[in-house]
This record gives sequence, C-alpha cells and structure tokens, in this order.
Amino acid sequence: MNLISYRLDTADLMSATSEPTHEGVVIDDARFATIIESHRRHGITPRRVDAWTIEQAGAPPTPFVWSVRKTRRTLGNAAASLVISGQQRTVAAAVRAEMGHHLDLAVRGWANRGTLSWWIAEQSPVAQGIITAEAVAWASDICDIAERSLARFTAPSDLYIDLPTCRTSWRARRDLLNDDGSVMVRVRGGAPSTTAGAGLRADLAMATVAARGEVGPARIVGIWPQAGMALALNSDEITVAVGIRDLTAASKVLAGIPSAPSPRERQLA
Amino acid sequence: MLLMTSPTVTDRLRAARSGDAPISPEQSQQIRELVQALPGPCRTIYPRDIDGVEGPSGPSLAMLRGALITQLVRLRSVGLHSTHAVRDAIDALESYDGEGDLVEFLRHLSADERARLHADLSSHSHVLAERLGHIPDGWRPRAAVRSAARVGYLTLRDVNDLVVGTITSGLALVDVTTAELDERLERRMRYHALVETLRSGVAPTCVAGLSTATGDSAIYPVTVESLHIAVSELPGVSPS
Repeated sequence: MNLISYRLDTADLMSATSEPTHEGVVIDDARFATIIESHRRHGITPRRVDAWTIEQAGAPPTPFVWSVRKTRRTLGNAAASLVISGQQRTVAAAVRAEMGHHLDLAVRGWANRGTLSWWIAEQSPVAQGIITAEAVAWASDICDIAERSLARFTAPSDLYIDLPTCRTSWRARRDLLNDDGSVMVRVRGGAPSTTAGAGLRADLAMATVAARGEVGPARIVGIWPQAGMALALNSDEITVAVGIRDLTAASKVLAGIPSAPSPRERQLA
Repeated sequence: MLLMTSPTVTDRLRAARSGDAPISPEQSQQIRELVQALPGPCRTIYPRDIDGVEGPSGPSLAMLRGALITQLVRLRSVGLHSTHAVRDAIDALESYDGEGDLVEFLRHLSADERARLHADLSSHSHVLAERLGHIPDGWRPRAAVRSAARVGYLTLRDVNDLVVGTITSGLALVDVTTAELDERLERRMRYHALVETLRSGVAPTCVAGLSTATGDSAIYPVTVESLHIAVSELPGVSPS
C-alpha cells in the first residue's frame, strides 16, 4: 500500500489535500454486479461494514450505545458544515444551533428512542455542556483543516451503500470533501494504528463504488490532529480492488464463515 | 514571567495575542530538527515527567480535584457558568467518563473525604470563575485537548487544559493548576509550547498559567529561546 505520510504543518497539509494530478477509478455496472455476487456467495445475512470493521479484522460490532465521545463527530461535523458554508459565524454558535435542533426534535416528539436527539434530550444540562464542548473541539479541528488547505472543502454526510439482494450495507465515513470530489478527508482521534491504512483504503473503495459509473475520489487523506499526522492514499485500480476484497472478506467473517486455512495451517493438518 | 493579580487570564491573553509576531515556520523547523537530533533510546515523555515528581500510582484526591476542575474549565469554555460548581463538576465527570477510575474512586470516598473535597473544590471553582474571565466564542476555545508529537526517538504527549485561537490566527495555551504557580509550572508551560510547535509546525503565541489555589496567573510569551530551553529540559537531555 502506497501510503504517503505528512505532518500537520500548513505546507504539508496543503500538499496532502491539494488536487491530485491523476484521476480516480470508475466502477461500472458489470463490476458492481461482481461485487454483489461475491457478497451473496458469503450468505445473505444482514451485515453492516465500515472501515472500522476492516481495521478490526471483521470483529463483530458491539451493541451501540450513545456516549459523550460518540456524539462529537455527528454534532461536530454538522456544526463544521454550518461554519464552512457561512451559515454560522463561530464554531460554538454552530454547535449550539445543532444541539438546539436535536432538542427541538425531541421536544416535538419526532425523535425515536435510541436516536441522538432522544439521547441528548435525556441528558442533564451539565452533560449537554460537556457534549457541546466535545463537539466544539471536533468541529474546530475540521474547520482548521479546511481553512489551512488550498482547495475549497465542504463537510458532507457519510456515504451509505446498500448492496442489493445481499442485505449488506457499507458506510464510508468522510469529514471533508473538496469541490470536485477528488479528495476526501477523514479526521480521526488519537494516533494512527497499524491498520489505519487498511481503513483508509476501505473508505476509498466504498466511495469509489458509491460513485458507480462515474469517477471516484482520486485520493483519501486521513488526518489525526492530536498526533499532528496525516496519511494520504492515492486511488488506483489495485488499491480499489484490494479495498473491495477486504470488504468482501469482512462480510464473510461477519456471516460466520471461517476463512480458508493458510498453506501453513494446511501443512500442519 | 509576569505575575498579576487584577486582570483576568482572558484579558491578558487578549493583549498578548495581538502583540508579538509568532515564530516563523523556519524557526519551528529548527526546533524540530533539534529534537530530531536527540539520541535514543525510544521513549515517551508525559507532562508529569517534566514536573520531575513521582505521582501516586492510582487515583488520589489531588488527581480527582484536578479532573473536576478540568470539567469546570470545559463547561466555561462553552459559556456554561455553573451556579453549583461542585455538583456540576461531578455530574460532568460522570457523564464524560462514567466508567473511569476517578469516578470509581469518587464513589468510594468516605463522608469525611467527600466533605473535604467539596470544600476544596468550592474554593478552587470560585477562583476559576473569578480569574479565568469570559472566553469569546470567536476564539474557538477547546478544553482538555490531548496532543502528541513523535519526533526522532521521542514521543511527547501532552494535555492542554484550554486552547484558544487557531493556527492561522495564533494559538494560546492555558494551564489551569490546582497547585501554586512556581518554577515547575513554568517548565510545564514551556513543554506545552514545545509539543504544540512540534505537533502543528506552528508555535503558539503565548502560554498562560492560572493557579486556582492562589488566584495568581502568569503569561509567558513563546520565543525561540524558550523553546530551546524546553528542549534542554526534556528528561534525559543534558543542558547545553
């Protein structure tokens, strides 16, 4: 995998997020049909696969429960989007607007049990303050990256891809996208793990499949603001193919199908 | 270092951030090269290593007090000024880190220890409210910001109680301590500036310290010299 490592100083950040000179990969209908077929072969059980599943080698997800830390990306990205698009002047005001929106949904009875709006409304005012502080910190990092990059960025929603007939859905996380969609950025907490590259590759592959029939992103950049590091991965046929292979393998593991024994294991048997 | 009594930390930061020109990217790069050239072995440095004090291995009342004050700083950073500081700080800690060691430690305190913590925290939170000042939203305040920089053989880890400003407009770091302002804190403030410079490639404009024990605060402009001193103060580095 051809990962390019960058630091987070402005020159490096500009270089990592600048428009690539090459184009992304196109997934046509025939190739999409192959992807679906390979998933169907591994059972038709409901599966949700994302980059985290790949980074965890297909380990089944634990039941989801909202927590302060888990709200920061959802609220922070929505707030960053408001600031970047000029709808709000400050990050704190944007986060407060988002919190207000969620509370409003809950008060009107439009928030189902288990949703973020419902969960926020259940919290004490102090806990809501801590949620706001976490989201402000996250959104500030996103806005900082967008402001220091040469390209114009927006803060889009994540991509969801349902593979028809095999009950499998993919989720490609993205925190920033440049104007022509050629560079997508993922912002992460902590420091990059040894499997971070595989996660970026999976997000890139999913985004390429989501753009079916059109050119996918040419580059994905993973940014770890706390660690002052960025990793960039350029798109090419091999990278996307390996990303799709990883996603298929994860689906297989999630369906409970044991992976084929390695040559060493066969020898021992 | 200037010790001050009347203006709040925010007032002083306002003045300091509009003052001196920041350190150039080339000078920041020189600092990075200096750290890069430090000899091995590989090691991780934490803020407590800079203090040079061997802390307790498990949670303690002092640690709990610090963590609760951090939660109050967090709430103030988003404009939430609590009227029941102690209750709010505990509520905030539980909502943020409900399963953490410190929350568990808090739950097992005796009535006497709880009462002592309550009194202690009331006093510290009063000073915090009086001396930190109102932080404008436009400063993009972030509280309890973790950072790390891996340079050469070293991994430097840090937590900033409060960060205001942006890399493009100038950053200021604030260390809120429940201890007194002394040489140790000065050293730690230089360390904060060094880690931020290595992490983002841009040196902060200044670092401020606030003691909630005495109400004293100090502001410390970041200069090339202070960053050089911070490098020489890293554990295992012999002063030149």
